[in-house]
Amino acid sequence: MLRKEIINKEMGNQEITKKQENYDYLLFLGCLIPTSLPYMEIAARKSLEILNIKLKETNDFACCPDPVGIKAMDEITWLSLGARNLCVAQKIGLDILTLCNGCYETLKETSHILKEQKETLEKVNKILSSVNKEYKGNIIVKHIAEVLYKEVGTSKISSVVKKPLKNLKVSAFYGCHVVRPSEIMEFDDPENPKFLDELIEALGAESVPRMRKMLCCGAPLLGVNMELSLEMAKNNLDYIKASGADCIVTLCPFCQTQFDRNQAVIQRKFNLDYNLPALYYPELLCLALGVEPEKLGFNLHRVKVDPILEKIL
Amino acid sequence: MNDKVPDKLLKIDRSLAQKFIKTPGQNPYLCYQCNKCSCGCPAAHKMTLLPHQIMRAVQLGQMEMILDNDSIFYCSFCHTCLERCPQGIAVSEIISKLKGMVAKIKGMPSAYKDEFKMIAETGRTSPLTSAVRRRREQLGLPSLSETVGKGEAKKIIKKTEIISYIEK
Ligand code: SF4
Ligand code: SF4
Repeated sequence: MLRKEIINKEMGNQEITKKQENYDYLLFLGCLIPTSLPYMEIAARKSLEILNIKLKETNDFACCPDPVGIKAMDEITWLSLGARNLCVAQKIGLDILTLCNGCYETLKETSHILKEQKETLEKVNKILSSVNKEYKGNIIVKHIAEVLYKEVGTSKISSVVKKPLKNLKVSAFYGCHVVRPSEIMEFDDPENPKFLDELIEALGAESVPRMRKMLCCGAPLLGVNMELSLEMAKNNLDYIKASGADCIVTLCPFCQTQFDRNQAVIQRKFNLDYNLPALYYPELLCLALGVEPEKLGFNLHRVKVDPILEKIL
Repeated sequence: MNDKVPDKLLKIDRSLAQKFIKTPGQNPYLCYQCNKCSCGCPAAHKMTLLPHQIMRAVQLGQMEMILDNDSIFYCSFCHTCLERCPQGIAVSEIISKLKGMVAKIKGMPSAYKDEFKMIAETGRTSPLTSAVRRRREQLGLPSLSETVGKGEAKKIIKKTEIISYIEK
């Protein structure tokens, strides 16, 4: 049996989202957003607040951890650290909302593996007993974009837009792990997803097509292979520039780091000039919902966002 | 048909492939060398051992070929190969496991060691500096505690065998 068939067979049982009376989700901040990219956090919080998604918070979460390095080095350690976070949600009694593609992949895949593979769950629980925890295998993990697209919905979002982002051409950058591996993430097509394009158009902006939409940003290689990492980001910037977009819209702090913080490095290295502002989708959403730009920390972006603000306000 | 099989061919070692075969979607023997994984790989031009060649090396148990060059560490784990393989093989996951095996023999890349150490110390992989605190305050974001997860991440890491490779 092929993997797809095996997994499809195993995915039969319907899941029920857990809710506490006053909250919809437990917020999983991750590491990179709250420390390096707080402007992403403020936009996520403000947009969800306006759309009436209520978040509970906790200090008990630790790093997701990283689905690339930590997982490769030792899968059982990766699963155990991830499962510890799931246990925190289990105790509070809420499902998890993540702001990052990496946290999303780690926690969703951990939850998937521990549900499907009883032997692995036993192994992990043995390790978790050292911190007095036991995972029972029933926490659902969502990405902020998934909640916006599947729960709030594009028609509701369009209906509350106060400032339609007319004349703005946007390049949608999904990132790999929000949709892949597709039989686990089950969000959208792994090669040609549409949800972010639709979320952008719901704000009145135009999502412009480009070559190699799902080419990796290269961020996972930053610590181990800087050169290739920057080359991958550069290839993406080339395609985005050629598409005629005014800006990039991301869903992940790692893609955001490549396109915002590292854009200047790439420009210098390859002697090129892109000047492409990169925004996290919730930032764009906040602007369309009428949040004042001064409250969103745009000054923290490395690539100036002013031309975009002038265009839409 | 009485040709003798050359000795070299007899050295196929199945124990490497056996390490993957039990995980759903990771049977290396299903690979028929169509090359699709390598064609879509954004790192293939930097690799001297391409994804489909890595798959063949695993089938034949040629761990030495994999140890001999650093191709697997060019993989960004984008899962394009996993999505495209007509045989449903999770090539990216096999490469990921190989990275762990190689790290346990040749030593862990320092970036990953640092990640483990930071998680053990603070619960996070990125530092909470005074500049970060100031920026958060200016934006009206809640203040973050110095460490997260009650030190439990450290206890977990210490419980697993990876600890000896981090400290090496
Ligand atoms: S795509 Fe699959 S079958 Fe084809 S060479 Fe790669 S691993 Fe083998
Ligand atoms: S996961 Fe790795 S091997 Fe597979 S296509 Fe991406 S970079 Fe290449």
